[in-house]
Amino acid sequence: MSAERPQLDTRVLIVTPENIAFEYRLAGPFQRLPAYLVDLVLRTLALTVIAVAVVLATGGAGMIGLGMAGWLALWFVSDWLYGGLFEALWNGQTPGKRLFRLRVLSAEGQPINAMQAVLRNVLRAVDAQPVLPLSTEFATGFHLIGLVAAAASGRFQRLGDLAAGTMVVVEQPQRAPDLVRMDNQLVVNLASRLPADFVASRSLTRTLAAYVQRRRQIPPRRLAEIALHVGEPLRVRLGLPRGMSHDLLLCALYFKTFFGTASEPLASSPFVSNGSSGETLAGVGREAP
Amino acid sequence: MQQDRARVVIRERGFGDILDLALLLVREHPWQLFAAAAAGILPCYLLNAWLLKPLLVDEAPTFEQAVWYIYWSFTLALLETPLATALLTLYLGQAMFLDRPSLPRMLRELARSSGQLLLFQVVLRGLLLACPPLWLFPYLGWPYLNEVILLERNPLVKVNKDTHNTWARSQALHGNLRTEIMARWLLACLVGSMLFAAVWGGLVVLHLVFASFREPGAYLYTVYFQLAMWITIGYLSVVRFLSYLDLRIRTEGWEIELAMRTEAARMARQLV
Repeated sequence: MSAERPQLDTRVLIVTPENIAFEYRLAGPFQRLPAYLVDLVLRTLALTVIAVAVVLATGGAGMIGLGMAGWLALWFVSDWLYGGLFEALWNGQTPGKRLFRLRVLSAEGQPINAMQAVLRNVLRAVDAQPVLPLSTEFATGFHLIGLVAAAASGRFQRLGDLAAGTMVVVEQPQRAPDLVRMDNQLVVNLASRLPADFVASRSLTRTLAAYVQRRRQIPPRRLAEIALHVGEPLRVRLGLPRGMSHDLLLCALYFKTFFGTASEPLASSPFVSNGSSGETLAGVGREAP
Repeated sequence: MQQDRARVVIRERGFGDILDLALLLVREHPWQLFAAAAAGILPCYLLNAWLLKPLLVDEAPTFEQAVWYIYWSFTLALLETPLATALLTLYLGQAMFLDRPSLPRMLRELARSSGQLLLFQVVLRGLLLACPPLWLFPYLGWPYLNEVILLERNPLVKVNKDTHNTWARSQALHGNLRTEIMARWLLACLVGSMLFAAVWGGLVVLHLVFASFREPGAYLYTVYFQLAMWITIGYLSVVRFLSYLDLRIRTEGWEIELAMRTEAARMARQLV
């Protein structure tokens, strides 16, 4: 059905002019909310501390009016430029964004410049609409414009982002999954009896790795259902007896692919994880061939 | 279900990611989701308006009247949400795997599940709501029961040893990740409260702007409060559906099954 339409996801692929593709995980309004709240709290705390300091410093000298005027100017500047300054100086991050591993990038996946940082933050005033005045000094923004704009944009861009040509992404350090140690003797035995000329294709290797990484978290009955899809055609292809555990076969193929057929797994390898030592194999009730 | 044809990329997600993904889903099916939600919510809205009419007799309700109106509105919504969002859930279930979800099929499935829906989500939930300390049970104990009833369609009573009945299936699904389910429910409450406040406040500001700053009076509750509440419930129902998928991915390895099916198809093609 959706052969033409890409599947929905919060990840986007951006291809640079040099034809290099980068995958980014977009941060939508709900993932950005905690960072925004942290920044709001930090800014309020800082302004409160400064206000107390100003009162203490200028109150005794009878210049409290001048001090408060300066504080109000600082409040105004921080209200409009806090996000812009931090994002310009910290390469697309504010303290809140840094805490939650978010970063503002240009829509092409490049670092943003100061103009983009300031523009997207100044336009936050538009995204915060509608605003309800609570008193002559204070008002609260409901951010509905920003929410609707982000929901309507495929990349969660509020109006400030659209105007500045930016997007917010989640920084995820990618690491290759660890190898899983297979010290079950049934697996080792079966792996040593598999045909020596059998070499798993690259896609099968990936599938086996994903299967073995996740199998410990899946109930045995469900695991047997999942293993059947690839396990049964492989059993037939390898000429193994009917009724053997598909889970065992997939684990043996994994072992053979990643560890060779040595009877001792490569336990000294720094990539080997100990997570599955002493594990039991789902459906192992039959003798391995 | 055919995971390899799912409309949404099947992988484990955090709750923030699910909240954002729900926005993408709403963006892709705006009118269909609106229609499915409205079909369930409108009867509840009209019923509530009729039931709660005696609580707001004045043009400008007093604080006490408003508090009671809000209390009863929330209580009724707690009871009605599973029924009000049943069509929405069925639509989402079909939209995950079909290009064109079929309304007759949705209605047939709703009719087939209506007995269990009434038993578990109206009678049982109603009894729990009547005992204030217990009203949290459905949210913490079986938050995805609607999806289990409507989408998995297990029998009410176990027919043979290989099948689950609805209750056993629900317990099996919810049993493994109770702490995470509770944390997600608390987060959903927090986000829902903020969204509700934003929508309600936003609607009131728009009223003030377009009505030349005339006070909304009872409309503040009968129209704007109700609209904000049901919009929030509708959105959180989409989030609940995606969380249900995520729970199945975590506990049943959907993404691995997808990879396995794809690999099996590749192997079959190579043999042909």
